Amino acid sequence: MIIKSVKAENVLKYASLDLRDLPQQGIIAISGENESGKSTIGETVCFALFGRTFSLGYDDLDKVLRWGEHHCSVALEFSVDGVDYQLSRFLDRDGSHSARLSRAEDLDNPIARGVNSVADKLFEILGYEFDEFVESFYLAQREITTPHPHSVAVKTMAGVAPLEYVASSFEEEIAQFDEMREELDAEAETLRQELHELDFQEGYLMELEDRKNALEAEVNANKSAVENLEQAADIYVQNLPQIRRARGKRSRARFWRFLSFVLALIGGGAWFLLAQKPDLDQSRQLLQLLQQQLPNWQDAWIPYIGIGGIVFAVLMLLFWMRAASHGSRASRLAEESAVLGDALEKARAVSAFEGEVETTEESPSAEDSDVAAGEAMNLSITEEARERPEESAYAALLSRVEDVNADVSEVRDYVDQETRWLREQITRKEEQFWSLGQEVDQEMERVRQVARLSEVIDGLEAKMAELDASREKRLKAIELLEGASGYVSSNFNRDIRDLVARTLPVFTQGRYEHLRIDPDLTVRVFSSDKRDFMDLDEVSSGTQRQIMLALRLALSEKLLVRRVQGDQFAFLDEPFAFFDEERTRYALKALTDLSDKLTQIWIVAQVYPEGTDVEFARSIRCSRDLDVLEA
Amino acid sequence: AISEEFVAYCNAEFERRRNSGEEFDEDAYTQAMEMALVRLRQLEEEGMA
Repeated sequence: MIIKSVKAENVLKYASLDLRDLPQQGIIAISGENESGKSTIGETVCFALFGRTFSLGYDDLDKVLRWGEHHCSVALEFSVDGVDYQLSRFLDRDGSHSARLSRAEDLDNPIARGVNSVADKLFEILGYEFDEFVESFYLAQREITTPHPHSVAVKTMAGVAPLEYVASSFEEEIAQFDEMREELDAEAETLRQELHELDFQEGYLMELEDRKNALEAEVNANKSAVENLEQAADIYVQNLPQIRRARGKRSRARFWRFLSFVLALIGGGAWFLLAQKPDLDQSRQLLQLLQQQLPNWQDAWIPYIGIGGIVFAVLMLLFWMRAASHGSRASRLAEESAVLGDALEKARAVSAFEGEVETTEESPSAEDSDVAAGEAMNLSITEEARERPEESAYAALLSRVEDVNADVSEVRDYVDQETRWLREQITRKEEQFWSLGQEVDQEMERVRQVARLSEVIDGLEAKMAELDASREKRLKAIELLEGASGYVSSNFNRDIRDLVARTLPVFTQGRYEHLRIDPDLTVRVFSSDKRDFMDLDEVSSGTQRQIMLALRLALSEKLLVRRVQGDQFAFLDEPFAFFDEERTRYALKALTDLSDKLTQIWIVAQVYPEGTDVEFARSIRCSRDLDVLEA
Repeated sequence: AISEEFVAYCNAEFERRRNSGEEFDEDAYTQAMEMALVRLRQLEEEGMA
């Protein structure tokens, strides 16, 4: 930024200040006795740019107004990298403060209006604000302190400011992450507590379902046993009379078979003796007996006796076959009836219901009718039904059934009692089955709740892990940014030291050539006389002033490199106050060759030494008696 | 300049850590560097650095 003109009314000392056609390069030398208004020029420029001066802050702005005046104004024309601007500012005692910034070529259309808007636009154009300005391009009168190492201005010059800004933004994000993580952790802990209260047991649902399935199979088996028992009993009852009839017929056939056998044997034997062995005594005795019993006996009848024997033999065979047929039928029916024995054994193998049926208030609606039916069945069960036939009765019946000797009534009584008992067991088991079904439903609901809670907890833990990863990433970034800050600061100090080394020997006539600048910007200077580094307060105030001027110019150079585009002005208020004439001449010469970019240098001094080789681009003479200055 | 100086510092630091033999999670630090670099460049684009 190069100043082209300054025009002010009622600012500080001057009723009117009008500096026109200012040279863009070289030294603008301001001179005059004490209180002649030299510093006011610099303060006016500072007020125009930033709405405050070095010594008067925003709370003391009314002191900017010239004594006795109601309002003041300032117009500053300047150029930045070839573009001309006009900045005007107005202030009155009522606190009204306005500002306006325009391009010189288009004054009717300002690019910013209002104090804040102009400040923002200026920062965009200049690359620095008040803090950086007064730490670099503006050396106020009597200011000999070192810059504060933690000031925003120095950090900006060093390039540390953006690194710290980013690190700070990461720290804020980490704080937010920590807060979010705490909330997520609390939420997850609440859910974990809920999960714990559900008292979920892994595998319990499977166990319940296994028990339910086993019970269902048992109930079905029991029902099958009852059905089989009843069917077998029916078959037995149906078959028993037929078996008995078949056995009776078989007995009668056996009797007739035996009788036929005896008669066939007698007939055959008689024929054999009479026809084949008539000479035997037995034959003669038999013939004699026949003749006595049958007076008309003729020997011609002997063959008929043989035929009779054959007939009885045939009859014997017929009765044999009939007996076998009835025996076979009786056996088949007995075999059919033998299923009752198996059914009795299977029914007897059914175990009694063990345990208590848990009744819950809520029953699944679909099963209400079944439960009601079960309850009705329960009411019909008598005390008698609750007793099972004795083991001895079972054993006796089983034995008699196997022999098909059990009576119908005996079978009916036993089977009725057994089936009643079985049905009661089935009813109880079914009740337990429904109860288990409800328990399975409840457990399934619990499993669903556990799954939902686990899913939410997993999600929260994933978010927390994500936050932890983000946090860790930012911590590493902060570590790198802090390391880079140290690295940049170290480079900055080195550059400042090198820059100071160019001007310090000139300002101190070679007595001090080297500076050491610590990371906290503590300045120590090497004394050629004492051959050692000295603290700043160990050297004279004049030398301090010279060192700080060199340091200030070095900082200006860094700010130029870092933030400023184009040429730049500097305003040095009495920088040579403690210089003798010869050193002042050297310093003036050095300032003209100081920097390619620091081209317009305003210097305030009471007087300038004669015989200097430097030709001032503009000389401005101030007077204590004048409140109007034009140059 | 600042983002470039930051990258220069990080590259030198990573090289130092690789050669030091100490445990160094280069991927994690590279990601952290890239994240910081994006922010720095954003500041530069906005004219704040």
